[in-house]
Order: sequence, then C-alpha cells, then structure tokens
Amino acid sequence: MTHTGRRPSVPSPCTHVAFALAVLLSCFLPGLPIDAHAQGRTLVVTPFERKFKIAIQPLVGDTADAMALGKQIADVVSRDLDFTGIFQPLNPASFLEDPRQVENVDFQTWRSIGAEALVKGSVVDTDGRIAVEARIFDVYKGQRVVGKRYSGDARDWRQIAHKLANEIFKYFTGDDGVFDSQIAFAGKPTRGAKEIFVADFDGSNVTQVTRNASINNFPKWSRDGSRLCFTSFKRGHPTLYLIGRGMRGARALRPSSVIYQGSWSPKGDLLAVAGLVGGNSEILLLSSGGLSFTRLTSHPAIDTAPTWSPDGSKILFVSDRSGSPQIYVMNADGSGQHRLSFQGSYNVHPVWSPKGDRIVYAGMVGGRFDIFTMKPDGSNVVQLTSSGNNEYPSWAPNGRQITFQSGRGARTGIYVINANGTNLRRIASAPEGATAPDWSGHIP
Amino acid sequence: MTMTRARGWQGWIVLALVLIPLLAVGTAGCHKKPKQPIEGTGTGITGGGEGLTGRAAHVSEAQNQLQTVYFEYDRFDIRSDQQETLRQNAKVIQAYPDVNIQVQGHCDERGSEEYNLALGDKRARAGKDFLVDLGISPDRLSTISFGEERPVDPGHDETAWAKNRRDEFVAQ
Repeated sequence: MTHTGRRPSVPSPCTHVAFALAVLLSCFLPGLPIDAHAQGRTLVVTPFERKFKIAIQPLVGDTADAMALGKQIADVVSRDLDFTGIFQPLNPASFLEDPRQVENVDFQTWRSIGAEALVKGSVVDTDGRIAVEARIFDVYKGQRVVGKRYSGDARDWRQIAHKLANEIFKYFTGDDGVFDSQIAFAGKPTRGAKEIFVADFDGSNVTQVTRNASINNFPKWSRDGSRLCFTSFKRGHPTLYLIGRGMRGARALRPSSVIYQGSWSPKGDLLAVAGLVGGNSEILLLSSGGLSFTRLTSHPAIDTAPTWSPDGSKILFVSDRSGSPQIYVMNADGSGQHRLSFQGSYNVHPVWSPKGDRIVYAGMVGGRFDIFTMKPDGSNVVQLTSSGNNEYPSWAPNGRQITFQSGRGARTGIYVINANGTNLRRIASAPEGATAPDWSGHIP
Repeated sequence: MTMTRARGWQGWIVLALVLIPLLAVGTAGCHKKPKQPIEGTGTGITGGGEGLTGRAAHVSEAQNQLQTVYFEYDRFDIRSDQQETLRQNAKVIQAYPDVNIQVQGHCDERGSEEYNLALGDKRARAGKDFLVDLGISPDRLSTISFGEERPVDPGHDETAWAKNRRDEFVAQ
C-alpha cells in the first residue's frame, strides 16, 4: 500500500481472489490444502491478507455514565469492524494520546503504532438522551476526513455505534457496511418445536417471532427488510406465512395450499414458492396478496428452493429432473430453464449475490455439505468450506460475506465467512441448534 | 323366559352373565398400546381402548394394526419387500370403512430440509397410490410430509436413517 495523496483503501476482494489464484497456479507446495483432482473445483487457499489497522478511542464524556457509554460505543464499533475480517482494530492499551485531544491530533504518535485510521469522539448524556459526535481521521494524510453527529435515546446507543461503524466502513471501502442488518433463523426452543427468530447481524438481541409450538422454518426477508415470509405447519400442513416488522399477526398467504417455502422478488410484489401441485413440488409465482398465481415449472421431478436474481429477471431453483438435486436457472416467467451445476451429485440452496456476480450454494461432498460459489453461468466453482456439514447459505446485503448453518461435531450453529473463503467465524450468541439463517438488507 | 320374580341365586347368575362379557370387551383394549398420532395432523383419537365404542374404537383398533413402510435413500418408489406390508395395511383399512387414513411421509436427516419436504410428500403419495390401486377409495386417504423434522431415531448412522425413511399410516 503506497502513501500517495489518495485515501488509503482496503484491499478489495478481487485482489484477494487474484492473489489466491496466483498462489494456486504458481506452486503445489506440500501442506497446502489444494485438491488438484476434484474435477475442476478450486479450494481457496487463504491468501496472505493485510488488514487495515484502525485505532478507535473510547468516546469521551462529561459524566461517568457518558464515559461508560463512550467506551461501549467504541467497543461495538471495534467489534463490528473486526467482524468484517478486513479491519484490524488496534489494542487501546497501545494508544498514547489523550482521547480528549480531538483538535491538533498528533498523527505521528498514531503512525508509530501502525494506525492507518483513527476514530475519536464524545458523548453528552442529558436525561436519557445522548448526543454523539465522532471524527474519523486519515492518519497518513494527517487530517480529519469525516465528522458525524448522532442523537437518540441513551438506550439506543448500540444503534448509534452501528451507524458509526457503517460510516467508517463506507469511507474506507466504498461499500455499505452491514451493521444495521439482521438475520432471521429457525431455532428449537423446546423439543419437537421449531420457531422463527430474528437477531442483529452479529447475533445480539435475539427475539422470538413465532410461538405456535409447531414446526416453523425457512424465514426469508423481503429486500427492504419490512417483511418476513416463513413456512409453518401450525395448520397441520406446511404453508407460507407473511409477517411485518412488528413481528405480530402472521397471516397465511394461501392457507389451504401446501407450500414448502418461498422467497421475495426484489421489488417485494411477488413471491416465488415451491408448492405441491398435482402431487408434485413445482415452482409458482404468487402475488404478495396471495390471490393470483402463475405456475413456472411443469415437470414430474421435484422442483424447489426458488430464489431471485438481484434485478428480478431470473429465478434460481433446485430440481432433480436429471436424477439428483442440481441447480437450475430460468427467466422470471418460467422460460429458458436450464441447468447450472455440473460438479458434484447433489447441489442445493442457490442464492444470488446482491452484487450479481456470484451464486452461493451448498454442494454435497462425501456425504456432507460444503459451501461453494460460482459465476451466474455456472463456471468458476470455488469451494469456501472444507469441514463440518455446511448448508443454507445467505449473502450479506453488501455481497462481501455469507452466513450459513454448520453442524460441527454434535453442535449446529450459525457461521459467517467472507466471500473469498477467509474470516470464518461462529455467531456465538445465536442459540445452539439454530438453522436456516437469512441475512436481511439494511434495516432503517 | 318369563319375567317372573327370580330367585336370589338365579339373579346373580344373570348378573354375572351380563357383566363378564362387558368386562372382557372393556379390558380387551388395555393389553395393546395404541400408537399416538403425530402432533398437528388432525383429530386422531388417542388413548387406550378401554370403554371406546363405535368409530373411536375402530380408529384405535385400525391404528394398532397399521404398519410403517420403509424406503431406500433418496427414493420414493415402493420397495418390493414393502409391498406385503402395504397389502396388509389395505386389508386393515378395508376392515374399518368408517376410518380415514393420513399417510405421513418422512425422510432421514441427510440432504437439504427443503428438498426432503418435497421428497416426503412423494413418499406419502406413493403409499397412497399403492393403496388406491388395491381398491381403497382415495377420498379416505390424505397425505402429508414432515420432511426430516420428525425422526423416530435421532441417531446419525445408517441404522437410524433407515428407520426414518418411512411412511406412517395414521388412523383418523
């Protein structure tokens, strides 16, 4: 990374993948986990990755409570940025400058500990309302580059921290951060029942959405985060339910129909669903009012798991019409159905990246599943995981990370991995046994 | 027999002759353990046979005699070694014309949950179609899939999986 007049930028994912491919092509060293014989699949070698070093000082406050909040905000911002796998928040024990020094910052002391960016700020706490001021500094340029103010209830401090983290992420990468997003998933609060939950993207603030002691599964967010659809057996047969952000009053879309699962069109006006038609699972389009439907597949095979391209023009689905489950694509009117996955005998859960450039899916390898990505034409298959039983991937709204469910040993949990295969981490505060995660867009 | 005033001991005999068959019928159901229908599948009658009469008794009796049918991995066609079980189930169903049957299809835990929901339906449908071919009226038969959500064996090996790939026949 050179110190030109331009702002320092974080290495893009393309750089990492290019580097990885260069490493792969140039050597087959003993010990590198490359499966050269796996029918053209490429296991991504963890590239040498230099993280962007950022110093986040506790925000200062005029009272002890404000100081405590300032530290909590700084902690959340640090954890958020660390979550992305491309920032390295520096250890506050190494900071030499007083956090109250917001003017005339001594950039040399920050350079001396390796910081490339710096965040300082303050919190004023007035009767349960807080005003937060934050400044982002480019250490190499030696200047302040962003100043933000936030206000709200003191108990919304975490949201403010996430907003600030998004601001920092956006400035240095050009992409939206994910810190205002949520995940929905299925959990097992009691034996025999499966209920829907939502949580913040990092697993905090887990909230139970359904409480019907039945089987509820496959939650999917609408793109604007305003609604969830999910499958429930509470009427005795599986059918699709919709619920708004208030998370109350779920209603069945077509109560007497057997619907296995659905997903929202990007505009939110349609749902692509897999439903039982003529004794067989077919893909249908339903209006979000549930009254009209269009049948898209008419094949005696099982056709299921429909998801949309980000521009709404195509639908991915799983079909076993060639003998075992594989990934197919079609136009949103059902025309042009053709197969995309040709490697491996059992490929499921296709989801198109919000960036449009990759499709993630789960492919069976030796009796268990791994997460793969491929181009929208089915080429350039890249394997992201190599152990555990990894299923049900879902993209972060900025397309940089993927959440998925993973069974490792006797435990199942929700994990996140970067799109280039690095930064695998478990969402520790999601309940044990959580499955079927779906990552929302930005929740305002 | 004229209804003259019975002598004391004759009265006891009559009482015994009436009571003993009643007791026999009443306790007959207690020896067998009826299968509980799975939650959320409708209004099946549960519990012991003691004192049940009419249709409730038929549901209970039919349930006791209906057997589970098993499937190969990733298949929904009826195996040749399972056909006799289905024939026996058909006889039971024919013997109780006032009883309806829900065929419940299940899968083992491998494979994706979404695909397995659909596969379970195909297994249920295959079981139903086989019974219809044997003369059972399709109006008496409903189907449902639970995918991999309701295993009978929570194990993670082929022994467990083989037990979970099944159709269950629930009397209603």
